This record gives sequence, C-alpha cells and structure tokens, in this order.
Amino acid sequence: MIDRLLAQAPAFFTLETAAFLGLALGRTLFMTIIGCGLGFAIGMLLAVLRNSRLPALAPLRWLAAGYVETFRRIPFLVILIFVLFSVQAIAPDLSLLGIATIAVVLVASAYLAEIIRAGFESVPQPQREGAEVLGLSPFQRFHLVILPQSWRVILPPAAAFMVMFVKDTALASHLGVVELAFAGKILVNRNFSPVYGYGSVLILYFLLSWPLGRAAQWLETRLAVSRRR
Amino acid sequence: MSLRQLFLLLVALCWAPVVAARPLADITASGELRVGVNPNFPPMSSFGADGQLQGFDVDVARKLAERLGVRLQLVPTEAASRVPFLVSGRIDLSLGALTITPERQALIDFSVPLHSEAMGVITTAKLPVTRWQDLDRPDITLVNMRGNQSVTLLQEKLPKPQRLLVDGNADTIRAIAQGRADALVENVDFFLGFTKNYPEIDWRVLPDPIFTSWCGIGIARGNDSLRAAIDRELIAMHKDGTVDALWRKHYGVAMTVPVTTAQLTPQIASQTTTGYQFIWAPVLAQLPYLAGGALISLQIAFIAFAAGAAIGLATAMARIHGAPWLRRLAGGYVSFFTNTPALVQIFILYYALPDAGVTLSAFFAVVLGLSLNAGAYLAEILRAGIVSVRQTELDAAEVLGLGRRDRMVHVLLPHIVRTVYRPLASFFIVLVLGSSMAALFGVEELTGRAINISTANLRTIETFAITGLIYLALTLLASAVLAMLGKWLVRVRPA
Repeated sequence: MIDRLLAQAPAFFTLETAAFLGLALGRTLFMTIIGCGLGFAIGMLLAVLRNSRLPALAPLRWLAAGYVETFRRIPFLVILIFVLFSVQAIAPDLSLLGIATIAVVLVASAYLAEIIRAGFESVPQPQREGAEVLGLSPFQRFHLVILPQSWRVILPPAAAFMVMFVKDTALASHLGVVELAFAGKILVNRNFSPVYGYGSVLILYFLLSWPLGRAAQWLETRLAVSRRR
Repeated sequence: MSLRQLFLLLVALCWAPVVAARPLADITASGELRVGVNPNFPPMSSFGADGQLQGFDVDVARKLAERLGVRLQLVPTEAASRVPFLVSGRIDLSLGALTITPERQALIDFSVPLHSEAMGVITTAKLPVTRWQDLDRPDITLVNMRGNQSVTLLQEKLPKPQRLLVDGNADTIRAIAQGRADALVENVDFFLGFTKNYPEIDWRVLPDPIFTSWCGIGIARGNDSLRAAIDRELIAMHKDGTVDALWRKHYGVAMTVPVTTAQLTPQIASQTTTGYQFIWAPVLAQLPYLAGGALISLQIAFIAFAAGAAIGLATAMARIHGAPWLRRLAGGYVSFFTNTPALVQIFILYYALPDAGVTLSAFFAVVLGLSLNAGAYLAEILRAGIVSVRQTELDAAEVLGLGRRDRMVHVLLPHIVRTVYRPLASFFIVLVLGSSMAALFGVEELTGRAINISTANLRTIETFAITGLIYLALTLLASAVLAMLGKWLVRVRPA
C-alpha cells in the first residue's frame, strides 16, 4: 500500500488536484452558508409567526407548525431527491448546486425556526405581560423585550446546527453536486488510493468543521457567563 | 439567489406551470444545446484530470452542437435522472448509453441508433462458468446498476442469482474486485475499462453475447423539430465515419456490433406530448414493499442507537474518569467523528477497507458507520448529563444517611436519566432519518426501495412524496412512543 501511495504522490499533489478540491470545498461552503443563512431568515419569520397571538393568524400558525414538523421528520436525502425533481417543472435552468441549496434552505429553516422559537419562549411570561401593561406595541415588545434577551439562547444552538450542516451537505453528492464528498469519490474512481481520495476530503471537512465548532462552543460559554449575571 | 427570488420560486412551486422541452427554434435562438451525460462513465463520459468532462458521448455531443451551430452545455446526469430531466426540459438531449426500449419509448423519443450494446458477462477466474446460462444459480451474486434496463431483462433471463444494486459504473467492477459480487452482466465494452483499476484480479469475459440492443440519443417526447435535426446530423455522422472514428478513439477498437445502414432511417413522428401529470397508482401499489423498507430503516436505527449508546457511555466515562492518555484518546475519537460527515465515514468503511483486506456487507458497513458516528454524539450528550449532577446534591444525600448504593440508584441515576432522556430521544429520530444514507450503498431500506421504484416507474415526485409521508408517520409514531415511555419510566415531562 505504501508503494502505491508513493507511486501516486506526484500525480496527486498537483495544482489541478488542489484546484479541484478547492472548488469542491467552495461548493460545500456555499450550500452551508447561503442555505443556512436564508434558512435562518425564513426560520425567524416562522418563529415570529408562531410566537404571535393574533387570532387572525391562527391558520398561518398551523401551516408554519406543519412545515416545521414535516421538514424535521423527512431525511435530507429524500428532500434532496424530491426538490431535484419538483424544481424541474418550474426552473429547469437552475443548477444542481442551486437545487441542493434550496433543499438546505427547506431543512435549515425548519430546524432553525424551532431553535429560535425555543429562544423566544425562554423569556419569562411576566416580562411579556409587563411590557404589555407598559403600553408597548407588539413590535416594540418583540424588538425591545423579547429579541435582546433571546439572542443569547438562540445563537449557540443555531451555530451548532450550522456546523452540523456542513457535514450533512455531503449527501448532495448524490445529486451530482461536485462538493467535497463527491470530489473524494471522483478521485478514487480516477484510481487514486482511497487514502488520498477520502483522506484529503476528511482532512478538509475537519479543517472546516473543527474551528467552527470551537467558535460555537466559545459563543456558548461566553453567552452563558453573561446570562448568569 | 435573493429572498425575493426564493419567494417567487415558492409561489411558482404552488402554481407549477408545466415547462415543456425546447423545440429546435428555441435552442438555436438561445445559442446553446444542453446535453445530459453521465459524469462517471468512462470512456463514454467522465471528469478528466483537468476537471472537464470528456469521452465518446462528450465528443458526439460537441460534434452535434457544432453541426447545429450552437454552443454545447454539458449537464452531469445520473442514470436514474435522465428521463425526468428530458421530460422537464432541463436537458435537450440525453446521452449515456440510453438503450432504446418500449417502456422508455412510451415516455421519450429516440434518435436513430448511435451505437450498439452487446450484453456479455464480466467475471473473474474464481467463477468456473463457461456460458452465461451457467450463471443461473442461487449461490451467485450478480452486480448491476440501478436504472439500467438490463436489471429487468436479467430478472427474466437469469432469475435465480442474488442481485446487488449499485449507483455507479465504477462501483460494479469494484464490487466484483472486492468479492461482494461474482459477475456483471452488462455491455462488456462499457465496463471493461474499470477492470484496469484492479490489475491483481484475473478478469475474464465470457465470449458469446447474450443479446444486442441499441442505444439512441434521448429527446423529449413530441419534440419533433429537434429530433428531425438530430437524426439528420447523426445519419450524416454515421455515413462520413465520424461516429466510428470517435468510438475507436475512446475504445481503441471498433464497435462489437456495428450500426447497419438499414437502421439509419428516422422514425415516424410521434403523437404530441402533454406536460407532467401526476399518477399515483403505480406508487400506491408498492406501499407494502415500501413499508417493508421502513422496517429495515427502523432496524438500522435501533442497532446504531444501541451500539452507539454503549460506545457513547464508555467514551463519556473515559473522558470523565479515565487516565490522561485515555481522555485524550476518547476526546480524539469524539472530535474526529463529529467533525467529518457520516457519509464519508461509511464511504471509507465500504469502499476503502476492502483494499486493506476487510470486506463488510453494505448493511454492516452502514450500521457500523452510523454506530461509530452516533457513539461520538451520544458520548457528548451523556457526558453533559453526568457532569450536570451537582456535588451538593450528592452531599445532601449523604447527610440524609443514604448509602453508596442508594445514592447511586435514587439520586445520581434518576438525575442523569432525566437530563439525557430528551436529547437521547431526539437523537434516535436523527438516526431514523440518517439510516436513509444506507440507500447510497445499495441497502434496500425505505429510501433505497423508493429509488428502486422510481427508477423503474419514472414517477419520482410521486414516489418521494409518499416516501416522505412514510418517514413523517414513522418519526411521529416514534416520538409519541418515546414521550410516553419517558413519562412512565423516568417521569420526564413532555416538552
């Protein structure tokens, strides 16, 4: 095995391989950042909707709850395949990367909506009542009372979710998106040793995920300390 | 894509207008011909060292685009998505050894044949057979590719052998090299190239072809203007020897069975197409088959959860009470497995370990990978539960006169169990969803069976909508049962 590794080393450690892996890494990052970013925005809307008490919005609240439950209970792989074929009818020009990103948005918005809602609910009920008694408008209550206090509860698990999703985007390889996992498979199919093909991909995932995970942990301890005051 | 665009897209999803295939005039106007090719199918088409697609199909597509006076845009298309992509108009033409069959002709149109496909047998010296008919034995495993028409043909001609379905061309030859399967019955020309990756294996090709079929270029049904143009150019390319020259360039030899002049007459126009129509009956008929797959999904989740919990508990204890080296080891295990994708971990267990002489079945590789992955995540959950017990609580119990055993059973354990119960229950749901990864390794669980069904009936949207509903029902049921168990056994209040 060592002989094979040594023999392949000149062919593997080239600028072309580095560029190939770099592009794949970029696609993984794109899906995670754009997908989770948009997912956060939509999740926020869903959580605000579910947090509202207006009777007129009740049917929308039901829909939002249904959406959140559905996309948290279907495997990402199934959602990917479903989106791939559903989008065909509307936007046949959308790239595979775009399709995978839409699937990420669907899943991420559902999970993040739940995380954000839990954050909102961590604000004690008496505070909401107090704000109401003080005559604050619903927007002021949300903007001045609930949001500033719930950020600290929302951010750490939301960050942890995004770090987790870096790894879940590997499933987009099934659609044919040449992201990191697929890049590894292509390299192995090009007859490079799996030590090179999968090894380099594992290292790249680790380099991406570990610092982000550390940052999320740091965020958690930092926000937790200030919460105890 | 901006939020507004996404919103428009979601609106469009609700009022999905049907996008039809593009007629020749639209293609000429846009200046671009979109051709679907298989990205993992050398020498037909694959990514070369320069990261560009290359091969016989790619060259044929390039020549066709040249002759039509438009640019070529290649779209990587897996075997199973060829027909749906054509129907929706994502691609104008589909290459990639698309065999002309009556089932497919009901859905798409074909050009005149591009090349032949002579079905033969690739095996190794280990299997003592001389004719393809000898393969009809239950102790033989045939490997095949999902979405290839040979899968159904084989079930008729060779019903007895077991089958292993994989997703890529390279995976078929790898499966034989690694001893997971004994033989491949397919177009010998297409697959022989991969055997060069395994020079240590004594490869053998049985001489007599089982039958010959023909591959054409797939065109959306009713797109007659495009089909007429492609037929015209393709016939010219056959006659001036372009096709033969390209075949020799990529295969090194002439086509086993050449396309005859008699075949080079365009077909009569087909009836016009209508857009996508939902048909649920073929999927609903497969509900029992899907339900059986759901049981296998649950089985994978249960085993991975139990094994993961055992690994996780040992790791958590090692990280809290172990010697320094043990703590580092356990910490390293957790950070490796939580910072890399489970999918790539299973890739390694399934595709790379056999090179080191360890061959795991797909089911076992997936269960092992998920268990190791779950072990790392569960170790973190359990550790948090264990360290959440406050010393004061234990001290109070001691002051109250409780013995060591009573402190353990009545103070320590209930506290830990109540803290970790809910995160453990939601992790079980994560595992049920994660078990779908097994489909990518040919395990026929719920998602795998859904892929099998949809590649056969081409009703992908319907199949996956039903599959999604089954997962929804499955996880809601599991959550309800877990919440009830939690309430009765450990008095965890429902969320």
